[in-house]
Amino acid sequence: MKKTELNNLDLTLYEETLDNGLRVYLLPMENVNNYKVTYTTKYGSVDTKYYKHNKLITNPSGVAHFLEHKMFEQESGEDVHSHFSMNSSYVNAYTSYFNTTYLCEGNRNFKDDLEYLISFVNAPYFTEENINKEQGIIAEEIKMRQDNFFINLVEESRRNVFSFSGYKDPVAGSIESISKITPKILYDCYNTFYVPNNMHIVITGKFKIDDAMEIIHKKMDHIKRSEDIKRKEIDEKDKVIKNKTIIKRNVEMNKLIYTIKINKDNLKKLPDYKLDIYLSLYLDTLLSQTEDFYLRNFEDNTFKGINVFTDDIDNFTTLNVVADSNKIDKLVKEIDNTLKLIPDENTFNRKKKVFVADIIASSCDEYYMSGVLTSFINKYDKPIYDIIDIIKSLNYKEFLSIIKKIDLNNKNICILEKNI
Amino acid sequence: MKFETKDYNSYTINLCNIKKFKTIELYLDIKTPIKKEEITQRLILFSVLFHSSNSYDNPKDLCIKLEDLYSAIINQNTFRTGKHIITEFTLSCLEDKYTEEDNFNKSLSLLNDIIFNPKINNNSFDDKIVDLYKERLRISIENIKENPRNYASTRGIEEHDPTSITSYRLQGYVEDLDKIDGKSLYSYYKKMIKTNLFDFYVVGNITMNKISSLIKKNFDKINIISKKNTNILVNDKIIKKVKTTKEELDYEQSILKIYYKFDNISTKERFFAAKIASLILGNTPSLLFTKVREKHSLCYAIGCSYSYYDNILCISTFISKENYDKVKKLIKETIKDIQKQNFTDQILEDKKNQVINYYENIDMSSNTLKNYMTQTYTLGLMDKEEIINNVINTNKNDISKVMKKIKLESIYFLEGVKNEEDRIK
Repeated sequence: MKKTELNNLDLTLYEETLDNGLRVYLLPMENVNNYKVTYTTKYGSVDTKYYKHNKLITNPSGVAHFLEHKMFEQESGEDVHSHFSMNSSYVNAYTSYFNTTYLCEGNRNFKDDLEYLISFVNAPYFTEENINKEQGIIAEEIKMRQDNFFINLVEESRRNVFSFSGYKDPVAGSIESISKITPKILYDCYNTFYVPNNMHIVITGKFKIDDAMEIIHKKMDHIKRSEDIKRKEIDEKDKVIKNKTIIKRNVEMNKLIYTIKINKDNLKKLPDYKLDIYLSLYLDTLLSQTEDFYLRNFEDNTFKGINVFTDDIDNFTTLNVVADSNKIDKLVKEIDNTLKLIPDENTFNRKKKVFVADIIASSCDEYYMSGVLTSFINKYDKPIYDIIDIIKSLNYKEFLSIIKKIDLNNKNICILEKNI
Repeated sequence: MKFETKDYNSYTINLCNIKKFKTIELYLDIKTPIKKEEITQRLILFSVLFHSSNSYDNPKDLCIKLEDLYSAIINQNTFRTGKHIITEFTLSCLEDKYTEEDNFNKSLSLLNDIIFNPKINNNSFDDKIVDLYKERLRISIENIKENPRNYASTRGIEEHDPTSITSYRLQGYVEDLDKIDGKSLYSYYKKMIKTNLFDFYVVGNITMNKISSLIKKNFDKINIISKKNTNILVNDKIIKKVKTTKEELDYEQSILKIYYKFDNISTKERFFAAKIASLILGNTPSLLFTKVREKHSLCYAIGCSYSYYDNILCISTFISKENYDKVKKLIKETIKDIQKQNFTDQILEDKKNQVINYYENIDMSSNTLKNYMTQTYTLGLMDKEEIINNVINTNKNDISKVMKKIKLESIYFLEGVKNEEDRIK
C-alpha cells in the first residue's frame, strides 16, 4: 500500500488500486468515535450520452439520480435502511453532475457496514413495478425542490450561463423526463458506469486497515475490470448564454444571483486546486464580512442576506453572489465596482491564515475529512496531500496576475422578482 | 474525558475536559422564563450588542478581530427550551498550542466585550443601529412565507394551542417592533444582565482551575442575585376538541402537520417510552417511512419529532394536496399499529440501540457534550449510565402503554395551490 503523511495534520493516508481498477483510500484517525465510508462512481447527471459498442446512447435526464434511489431496492426485499439501523448506523446517497456517492457512518460494526454497503451497491434489481413506485416518490422530491427559491435561482442561472444541456438540467431531471425511465435503461447505465475501474472507496475515522482491505478484497476481487468508458465529449462554450434574466415568482423579497463564468484553461497554467483556492480567495478578499463592501451595504440595508461562493464544474469555475434584496440595481452596481478593485495584500494574507486555521480545527473530524478527501478525488482525481503547504505557498503577486485575467463582463445576472 | 461543575452563585461553569479536539468550545447560555412580549426586544438586543461595543466599532471590525485570532468564531442564537428562553453564545477557538500564547484569553475578552461592554450614550443604545436591526427583523418576519417548511412549522404550532407558550414565535412580532428604541432597549439590557441566569459550558483540553480563572478575569461584570428555577417542563392541558386548520399558499407541494399530546404522562415516560415511540414512528427507517413512502409512494419525506420539554409529538410530511385524506388515514393507522404492538421486536431494539449509542458516544462532538451537560448538570436529569439502563429496560408494553395515552389535538394543512401559469417549465 502506498503510504503518505499528510503534512501538518498528523494523519497518514493509505492508498491501493486493485487489479480491476477500484481505487481505495484509507485514512485511519485516532481519538474519534466513528467511521465513515463513501463508495463513489464517476457517473452523474451530465452522463446522459455515452458510447456502447461504438453506438451513441442517449438517455433522458435524471437517470443517475433515479438509479441511486433504486439501488436501495434489494431483490431479497430486505430494507437497506433497516440493515444499517441494526448496527445503529446511518446510510444515504447523493448524486451530483459528475458523481454518485453511497455512504454509511457508524461506530459499532465496521466490517458489516462496509460489507453491506458494497453488497447493496453491487446488486442492482430493477423491475417495471419498482420503477413505477419510485416515480411517485421522486416526483414529490422534485416538487419539494421547486418550492425552494434558492434552488430555483441557481437552476435558472445555470440555464443562462451554460450551453451544454447536462449543465442546464437539474440533477433529478423533471417529472416528465423520469417518466421515460425503464429497467433496460437502468441496467445499461449500471453495467456501464458501476464498474470497479470507474469507482473509488474512501474510509475515514475509527477502523482497522486490515479489516477494511479484507472486506474490500472479498467483495471486489472477483469483479473484472471493464472496458474504458467512452462518454460524449462535453462541448461547453466560454461565453455565458445571456447577461440578464428576470423571472416573476411569488417571493416576498427579490432574489439575485450574480455569476461570472470562467474557463480556467484561459487563466494561468497552475494545478486546478491551486487555481480554485485563488479564485475563492478573490471573492473572500473583496466581498466577505471583513470588507467595506459588506459593511456599507449591510448598514444601508441593500441586502438582507448575502452569500458568496465558487462552483467548480470541470474546467469551468463560476463566481457567485446570492442575495435577498429590494435594491437589486444598486447591489449589482456595487458588486460590479467592487470586483474591479485590487484586493489588499494584508487581507490576502489574513485570509490565508484563516484557511489554514479552519483546516487544522476540522482535521480531527472524521466526517469533515471524509468530505474533503472524497471531493478532492472527485474533482481532481487524486487526494491533495499537502493542502496546508499549498495554502501557505500562495503568493499575492501570482494572485493578482490571475484575477487580472478574469473577464468580469462574462456574467449573468438572474433575478427572481416579486409577482405583483 | 472528565466532567466537572462549579457553581459560583452568579454563574456556573460546566467543563468537559477532553483531549480529542484541537479547539476549545465555550458556550454561554443566558436564560430566563419566556415572556411573549419580551421576545422581539431580546432578538434586537443581542443583534445590537453584536454590532458594536466599546472595543470595536462595527461588524466588520469584529470579523477582522476574529480572523486575527486564528479564525475564532463567535455566534449567538436564541431559542426556547420548555419554559425558558435561552440566548446561547458560542465561541470556538483553536487551542493556544496551535496558535500563540494568550489567543484563547483574547477571544474570551472579545466575547465579554460583546455582552458586557456595549456602546451606551445617555442611557441609550444608538438609535440608528437599533433602527437598522428593527428593519432587518421586520423583513425577516414578513418574509416567513418564502420558506414553506418554516412557515408551516410556525403556523402549525401557533394554531395548535394559541394560549400556550409553545405557540410563541421565536422570530419575533412586527407589532412589538414599534415599541422598541435605544432607551427602552437599554433598560431591557440592564434588566437582562441583572435577572437572567448565566451558565458556561466548556469543552476542550483545559483544566477547571485554568478556565475558572480566565472566566473570572474576563467576565467580571456578571452579577446576579436571582434564584435558579429548574422546573422548565411545559404541562399544558389536553385539548379536547381536535382542531383542523387549512391554509392556502402559492406552492407546488402541500405540507401536513399533525400534533398530539400524551395525557397523564410521567416524566420518565416522557424521557424514554414516548421518545423511543417517536423514533419507531418517524425516524427513517420507520413505520411511517415504510407505509407512506415505500408502500404507497405518497411522499419523499416524512418524519416525527417529540419534545420532552413540551410533551408534544408532531408528524410532518410533504405531499400532493389531493392525497391529504389518504395520508391522514395512513398516519392514523400507523398510530393504531404501534398502540397494538403491531411492530417488530427488531425495530424496537434498533431504536433503543440508537439512543444507547448516542449516549455511549456522547463525546462525538462538542455540541453533543454541551447538550449532555445541560441535561445532566443544569436540569438535574439522569447521567448517562442511568439513561442507558432505563433504555435497556424499555419494552414493547411500555411503548404501547404510552402510545395509548396519545391524544390527537390538531391538524395543520398548508395547501400548495400553484397557478398553472406560474408553473416552472
